[in-house]
Formats: sequence, structure tokens, C-alpha cells
Amino acid sequence: MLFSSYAAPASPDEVIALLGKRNNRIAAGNLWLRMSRRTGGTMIDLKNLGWDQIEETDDAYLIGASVTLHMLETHPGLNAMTGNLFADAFRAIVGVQFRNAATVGGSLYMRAGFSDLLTALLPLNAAVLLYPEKEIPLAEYARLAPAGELIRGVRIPKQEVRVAYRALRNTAGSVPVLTCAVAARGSALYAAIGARPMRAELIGGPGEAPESLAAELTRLTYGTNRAASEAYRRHVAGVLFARCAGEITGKETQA
Amino acid sequence: MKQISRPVRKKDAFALLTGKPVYTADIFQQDALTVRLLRSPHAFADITGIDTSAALKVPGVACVLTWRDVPDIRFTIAGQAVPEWSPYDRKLLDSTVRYVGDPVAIVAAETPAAADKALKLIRVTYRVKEPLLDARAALDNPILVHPESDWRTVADFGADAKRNLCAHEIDRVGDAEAKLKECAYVAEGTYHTGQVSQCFMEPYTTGAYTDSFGRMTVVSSTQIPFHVRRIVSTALQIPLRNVRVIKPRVGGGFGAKQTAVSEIYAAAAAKATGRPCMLQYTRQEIFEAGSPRHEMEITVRVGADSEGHILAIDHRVLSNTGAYGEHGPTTIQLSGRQPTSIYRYAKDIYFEGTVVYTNTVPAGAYRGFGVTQGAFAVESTVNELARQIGIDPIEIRRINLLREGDVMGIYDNGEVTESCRFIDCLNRADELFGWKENAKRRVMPDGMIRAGGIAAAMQGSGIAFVDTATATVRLVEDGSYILEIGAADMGTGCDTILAQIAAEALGCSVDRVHTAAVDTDHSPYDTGSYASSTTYVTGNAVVKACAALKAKILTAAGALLGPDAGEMTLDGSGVSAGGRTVSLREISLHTQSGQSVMLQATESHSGKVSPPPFIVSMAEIELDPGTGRVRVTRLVNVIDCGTVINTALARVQAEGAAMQALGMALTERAAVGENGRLHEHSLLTYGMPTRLDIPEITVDFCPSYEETGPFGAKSIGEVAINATAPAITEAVYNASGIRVHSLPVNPENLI
Amino acid sequence: MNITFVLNGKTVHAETAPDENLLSVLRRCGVMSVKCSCDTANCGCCTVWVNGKPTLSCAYPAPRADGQEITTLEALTEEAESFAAYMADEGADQCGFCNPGFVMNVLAMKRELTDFTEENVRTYLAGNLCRCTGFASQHRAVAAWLKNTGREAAEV
Repeated sequence: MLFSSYAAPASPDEVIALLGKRNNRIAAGNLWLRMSRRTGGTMIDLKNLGWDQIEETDDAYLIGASVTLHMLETHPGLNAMTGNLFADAFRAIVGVQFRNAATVGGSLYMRAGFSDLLTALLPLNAAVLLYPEKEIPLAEYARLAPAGELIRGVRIPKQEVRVAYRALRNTAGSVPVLTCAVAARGSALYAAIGARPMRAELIGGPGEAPESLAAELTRLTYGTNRAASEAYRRHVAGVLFARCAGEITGKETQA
Repeated sequence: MKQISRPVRKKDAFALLTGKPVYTADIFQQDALTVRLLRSPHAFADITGIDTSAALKVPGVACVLTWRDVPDIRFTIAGQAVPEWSPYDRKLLDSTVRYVGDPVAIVAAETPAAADKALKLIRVTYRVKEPLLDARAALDNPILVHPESDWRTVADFGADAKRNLCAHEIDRVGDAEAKLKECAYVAEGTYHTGQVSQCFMEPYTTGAYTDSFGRMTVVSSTQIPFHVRRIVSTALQIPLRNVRVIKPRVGGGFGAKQTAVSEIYAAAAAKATGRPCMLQYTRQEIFEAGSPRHEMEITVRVGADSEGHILAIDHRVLSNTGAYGEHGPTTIQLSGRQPTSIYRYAKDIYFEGTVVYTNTVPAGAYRGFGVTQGAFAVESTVNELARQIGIDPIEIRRINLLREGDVMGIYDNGEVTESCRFIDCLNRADELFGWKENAKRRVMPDGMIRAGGIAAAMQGSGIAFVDTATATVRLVEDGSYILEIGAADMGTGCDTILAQIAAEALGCSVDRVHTAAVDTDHSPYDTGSYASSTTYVTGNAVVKACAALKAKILTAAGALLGPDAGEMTLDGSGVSAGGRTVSLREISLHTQSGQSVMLQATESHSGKVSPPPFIVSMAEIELDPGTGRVRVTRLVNVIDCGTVINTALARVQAEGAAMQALGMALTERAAVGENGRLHEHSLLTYGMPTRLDIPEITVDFCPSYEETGPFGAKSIGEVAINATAPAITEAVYNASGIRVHSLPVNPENLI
Repeated sequence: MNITFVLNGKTVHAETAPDENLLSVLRRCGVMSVKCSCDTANCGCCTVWVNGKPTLSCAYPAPRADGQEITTLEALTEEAESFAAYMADEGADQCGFCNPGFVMNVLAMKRELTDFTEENVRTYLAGNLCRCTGFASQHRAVAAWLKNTGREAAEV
């Protein structure tokens, strides 16, 4: 994207002020934005806000908007809690250099259908933290259209969870044809299915059985694009779900 | 010490690996104007008006050229010897555009931003015409891609622009139709391969400037410096003597840079502005206006007797050359000749090739050059035939593959193979792969299905009676040699390989031979690096030049050693005779003072045969029955390329080619949409394999000794890509029972 | 606009457009090891280190580099040569165009990883495309180099 000026404000209020102007855009990882041929006003850089940290509180991990995917996938606490969920989910996202640039905030704001991050976060009951202070459950946020809001970060509640992730790709490094994350928390079972090619959706809840969830996911909307047909995606969703569910059961048995 | 049949580091390795500035964009004047091309958004249209006035007002814009500003002449940008075999169907800029991406205007500006801005301000009015996008419907279609009266061809390949026909060729031996009727078994199939991209890493890049003598100097990433000189001369109507082409390091070509894709535009801008100009293609331009593999649809019938002897092949190929005919008439030949000629009992072969124009990206040369497409069809059909007969696909090849002394079907008018260890390749592959165990369909503990497949192929080594190479070798006064060639190292390592050949011939170590960079003002003529010609053809020229130089050195040494010295021998340090040695330095210095002797020799070579290298390829795949995804788990490729000059580089050539074939088989796709635009035009969507997608690969060699080659060598670069795709799809058949007829494999069909 | 950053240990001042990427500013500074090949941020040819982390300079906004520490292959010649020897022995350099970005990422990998399993190594290097080699020779070179410099897979 072409910009006529650049700003790296020192406070979020200044960012909000800049976002008030049409055509101004936040550049996060600038990986997808750079490919757009549109013309914009000011490129807004969040680098001076200090939002590039992962904080651990008593009951949650607070992920800053500028935390990169690579920071997330190598975080010991998150990996311990999720059984390396993010490492599994991000492994085929281009490469380490790309994931050192791609940020949590940028990825969530885009709400791309193919987002591995969105699929991985959904079953963890994560919430998006906006500035000014507002918290929206991720599942709800994912359904909203981008509206120039400022993402401050993401909250991932601490939890006892067994989670598995599978994605289907044409080649490693290409955008996924389908993504699937399954999580078991207590008696609850969740699944997120993304790249349908629409944005990931979360299904499931307390007391859900794998069988009913499997039936439910076939009723989600799927679509056809160059990468795959609707029918194929629906089929593969079932296959990936079954494998994820099987993996979780395996983890349970081992534990 | 022996300089060949061993690994030798490439001479440029450390410069490349430490990131030294060696490519065109690194070394060309950094203050050069940026050249950008305005490209047609329509697949077929007449330009009825172009207004460049607003673009010209953009600060920093130096020129905006349209069809009115360039010579009105048709030519070809295919790199090939004269008489050029591709039709003269292209202008530098034309008032008709024939594919999405066809250049409409050339802009040169002080900065990339100014050039981009100017592109947006050029106002073009098009009379949009209905495009012809389907190759199957092209012949005699009322839509004519080249209706113009000045379309012409100087070669006789049955072209007829009034029928959208770029070439029509028939090759035959015996009577295939009659023989097929006699055959106990006949397998038949129609196969399709798409327009895949070479995916070389260095984009097409050209810098051009007018030098102090008023001559056009073109610095370019090319495989064909001498053809570029001629093509630029023709396109710009500059006398050939006033064009000079310099080839720096080249970041990969694989055939793509056997066409002068970018050179003419940069040179036109340099001529118009009088300023140094540089053009570098974007990756999207490479996909949309590069020089990809010809899309082909091939129908094959193969017949055998009840013992499994392959007796007859009927092979009909439809090739889509796109909007222009670069390499159309030649790739079609290879799609027929090589694939049908590897079976020794097939004495009745009919090949018919039809090359058509469409309003799509002009195709060109890509490693394998038609053989890859043809071999996919023939090898798949032979595998099908083996099933019909009820014999193992490895056995049908054990019975039928060429042996030394066999006539090779319709290959080069029935050339006889004098160096052939095809069966040894087969047996070695059998052993390395463990065919009996690993070809079998097996369900793994995790539910995945494994199976193996096999295919075989050949290529050529240069084009007989056409490809011509020259080498100059001279002794310099520190006792080392300078080797001048016109062949173009594009990363394959030929500068090193040819130095090894020279060192072997001169009895010195390879670090005493320095290969000079290619510059058409200084380098001796060479048709270029394509058609698997460099090691074989240029290598032969090097051997000859070294022999001639050696004779001169011995004569000069004789003058120093005296008439009674006895038999002289040359090695890396000097010439010895009768217990005395004169150093190369002494000999060289002696000739540089008061003598009329130049210790330099130049020799040319052109082959009268094109001895084929052979490959047997085996693939093991794992099919995921849940998703239909195919993963290749193991590849074994065994090759007879004659003497292996550089064992490390030959192995890497074979490994790299195999992965390109794997990509073509499973994931690579750049398909044309309804409006003529490509669906896939970036490395994000195209499907080039990454290091997480590749299998374990084993490459081995069964070197025959080719008497006509340099120290017994044939070629390696192209043959290695030809057999892997059909081996993979045969493994898919073995695993799933589904015969893949169109590449890439579609997982949706396998569940 | 003007930016100031540390390039290979030296402070440099550079002029940049607000929407320019670091890659083109670096090449203007004479740093030619960084290459552009794909335009879509997935080939790895433009890899540099920003504050020690391997990053794609084609996507990194140049103004963001202000105040940062940028390292390119030009500053790592000695270390690169030690690895280059293994690549050259395998013939894995080939056309060379992907080499600088690949070497930058290999050297970053050596600093970051602790367990050099084949799987970890390949995953780390997955963002570096190469069309000449088919990757196998690169992996042989990396494995031999890691082994000879004491970086191996942790004992299982």
C-alpha cells in the first residue's frame, strides 16, 4: 500500500486520533498490507506503545497486539499450557522470518479466513482487548467487520486444556485449505474450523460429545475457491476433526 | 591428478554464499533509470488510442514509448541458432495485444515511484475482442490470434497463421496403425500437463546503456548472450556490430532465460533516453508474461505382444504456445521423439504434433523442453499397458528399454545409441528402492497408504548439426590458464565443469584454470546454455582448444629444451623432457619477448550426434485416504549421463530437477481463467514445493562412456526432470486404483 | 524522511519514503546481499536481522528501522565462510540467488535453536525457498556444519 506519511505515536490516544482520519492505516507486520495497491494517508506504526510483551497474570496470559507469531509459538508458558498448540499451528506459516514480522494484532484485525491464529485461539476462550478499554470474546470479534478499531492485545485465560491442531495445505508455506482446532476443557469440547474458506467459527460447549460436534461441523457453511471445493472442505473438516479429537483422547489416556 | 569424476567446489561459491554483488541488479549502474512496462489487461484487443501526455508530465519521467515509437518489424525472442525456428510473430510493441500481460508501453523514470505513477496515467483505449483461450478449440477457429499480413516464418514446420497453427509436424517409422492392430495388448490414454513456471529465483533483469563508442551494451541475466545480441539488434534495428551483451552471474534459468524476455524493453528505453536503464520483472510479471512450459494434451496408444514386447506407439500431441510461438516448433518435436524412442522393439512409431496459438501467456523453454510432457503421457500409458498384460511395470521396462547399439525409434532419424546403461540404471534403482517390497500397496499403522511407481526417460546432449560452441584457452605468465567460453553459467556450475575439463586436458589442477565472464565483445561464439549442450558441446570445444594449445606449448618448450630433449610431457608445473623441466612461467615469458608466438588456441565444436542420457525414476508415495493428499516419501533416480564430470554438481542437478518434477506432479499450477487472466501468479499461490514438502531422495549414476563426448560425458541437466512425475502418478495408481490423467494431482479425486 | 539506524555496527543516516521497505533502502546503502525475488514475502531472499531476529526486509517498513540495529550478511563474512565451505562441498550454492537470505537464516537458527533435530532445522529454514537444489544438498551441508560445530540434536 502506498502512504504519504508515517507516524509512530508514543501513546494509544494519538493512534486513535490518527485512526480518526480515513485512509490512515496501522501497519503491523506489513506482510499483507504491502501487497495492496491502494493509496493511503498515514502509515501508523505501533512500535512505541510497548505492546510487544506477553504478560502472565494469575488467571491469564495477556498477549500484546505487537507480539509476533514467533514469540507466541516459542513462549514456554503457553506451550506448556497448550501442548505446543501454537508451534503446531504456525509451523507452516511461511517461515520464521515471516513469523518474526507477523503480529497477533495484525492477524486478528485482518480476520482472514485462512488465519491459523484465529483458529488456534478460538477454542481457548480468548478475548480481544481493544483500546479504549473494551473486551470482546474472540468468537464474537471474529464475526465483526474491520472498522478501524485499535487492538491492544488478546487475553488467553489460564486453563486446563487438551488441544489439538490440524491444517491442510497444498504446499507448506501456502495458505491453508482448511484449519481445525479442537479443545477439551473439563467436560466441555470445542472445535474451531477455519479457511472454509470463510473465517473460523467456534462450535461446541459443555457436555458436547465428539459425535454431536462432528455432526454439527458438517452444518457449517463451506465454500469453493481455487484451493478446494465446498464438498471437499466439508469432508476434510470431518476428517481433521476426527484426527484432532483422537489426538486429544490419546493425550487424555497418556495423562 | 585427476580433475574429473570428482566433486569440485564451484569457482564462484564463496562469492555467492557470502552475498557479494554479482548479479545484474547488483553491478549495474545504481543511478540507472527504472524501466516499467504497461501491460494489457485484456486477452485480445486492438489499441485504438494511447495518450501519454499526463504520464510524460510526471516529474522524473524520461520516456514513454508506445507502438508508434518503436521499429515496425516482426521477429522472435526465442533463443536459437539462425535460421530461427520460431515464427516472426512479435513486435517490440504492437497495436494489437494478444494476452493479458502483453506490453503496451515502456516507461523509464528516475525512480520506481515515478515510473509507477506514469504507468497509471497512460490512457489507453482498447477495442476489446473475444479471446481464444482454449487450445483444444484453436485450430481453424474463426478467432485468429495472428491475422496480420506481416506474420512470417523462415523455417518449414508446417505453420499457418490463418489456422492458428504455429507448427505441425509428423515423425514416423514403420506403420504404427497396422502394427497396433496386430498387437495382443493396446493401452490408450489422454494426458494433460499445464503451463508450469520455472520459478528461477532471480527475476528477469536487464540493464542497458550506450557506451562511449555509441554502442548499445546490454547487461542481462540470460542463458543466451549471443542470441540476445542478435535479437536486440533486430528489435531495435541497430547494426549487430553496435550491440554488446554481458552476462554476470545468473540466478537460475531452467530454460526461462533461453528467451530474450526482458532485454528488448530495457534496450529500447536506453536507446530512447540515452541514459542507463534497468528493468527487473516482478514475480507477477514473471508468471503473467514470462516463458513457462507449454501446456500439452497428449493422446497415446502403445501396443505390445503377448510376451510384453512394446511394438508400436501412436503419439499425438497438442501444444499450446500461447500468444507467440517461442520454442513452439521445437518443444513439440521433443515431446514426440524422445518419449517414444526408449523402447527397443518399437519399430513402428507415429508421432503427430500440433502447436496452436491462443490468447494466453506465450510459452517457451523449460528444462526437459517437451520431453517432460511427452514422457508423462507415454510412461503412464506403458504402466497401464503393463497392468493389462499382467506384468510388473519394472519388468516391461526390463524387457524393452534400449541397450547399447539399439536404433532409437524416431530419435534424430534413427540414431544408434553407442553409450547406454539403461538396464543397469533400472537394476540399480530396483536395488536402491527395494522395488519388490516398496512398490506394493501397503496400509500403514496410521491408516496412510503407501505404494511405489516407476518411469524411465531420455533427453539429448545438444542439438546435432546446430549447436555450436567455441572455446579459447591461453597460457598466462604465472603458469595458469584463462578459459574463454560463450556458454552461460546460470548456476549450474558450467564455468567450473568446463574448467575441470580443461584442467584434465592440460594436466593441471582445476584452480589453475580461470573461466572468464561472458561478454560478446570478447568471448568466443556459443549458441548458449540450453538443450543440454554445455558439458557435451562446449566441453568438446574445450577439449579441442586445450589439445591445440598443448601442441603450441610443447613447440615453445621445445625451443627452450633444445632439439635433443626427447619426448616432452606437459603437466601443471611445466614441460619436462629428458630429466629437465621448463616451467610454464618460463615458457610463457619466453613467448612474450621477441617472439611471434601466441600461446592461445581457439577451437569450435558442433555435434553430429546428440547422445541421449537416460534415467530410471522410482517414487514411493503416501496417500492420505481421508484427505486425498499425496506426499512423496522417497525418490530414487538413477542416471546414465556418461562420465560424471563433477559428482557433487551432477547430483545436485538431479536432485533439483526431481523436486521441480515433484512440484509439477503434485502442486504447481498457474491456470488461465475465463477472462484470460491467470488464477495463480505468485509464489504464495502457485504451489512450488518448500523444504517441508520434499521426500528423501537418492541419486545414483551408472556412467556409460560416450566416445563422442568430452572424456566420455553426455548431459545431465534436463534428463533428470523427465521421469519423476509419471513415477509419482503410477505410485498414486498403485495406492488408489486411480490413473491420474492431468497434472497436478487433484486430491479431491482421490477420496 | 530521514532515519538513523545501526547497520552492521555502524550508525547510518538514510533518506526514505514513508512507504518504502527496508530492502530498497539497504540496497541504496550499497548492501547488495539482500535480494527481492517473490514480492509476496514468502521466499526469504531478503532476510536480514532486526535486533538479532531474522526478518523479511521486503516487508519491514523502512521508517520502522529508525533506532533499530540491522545486520546483513556483509557483517558476517567470517562466520558465513565457515558454513559456506560445507555448502560449496555439496555444490549446494548453485545459482546463489537464495544463498544470502538462506545463510542469514541458518546463522540465526544456530543462535536460536537448542535442539537441532532434522525436523526443527527444516521447520526453521522453511521460509527460504530454493529452486535449484531441491533442498537436499542444503540439508546435508547444514547437518555437517552443525555436527562439526557441536550443534546436534539433543539426546533422545
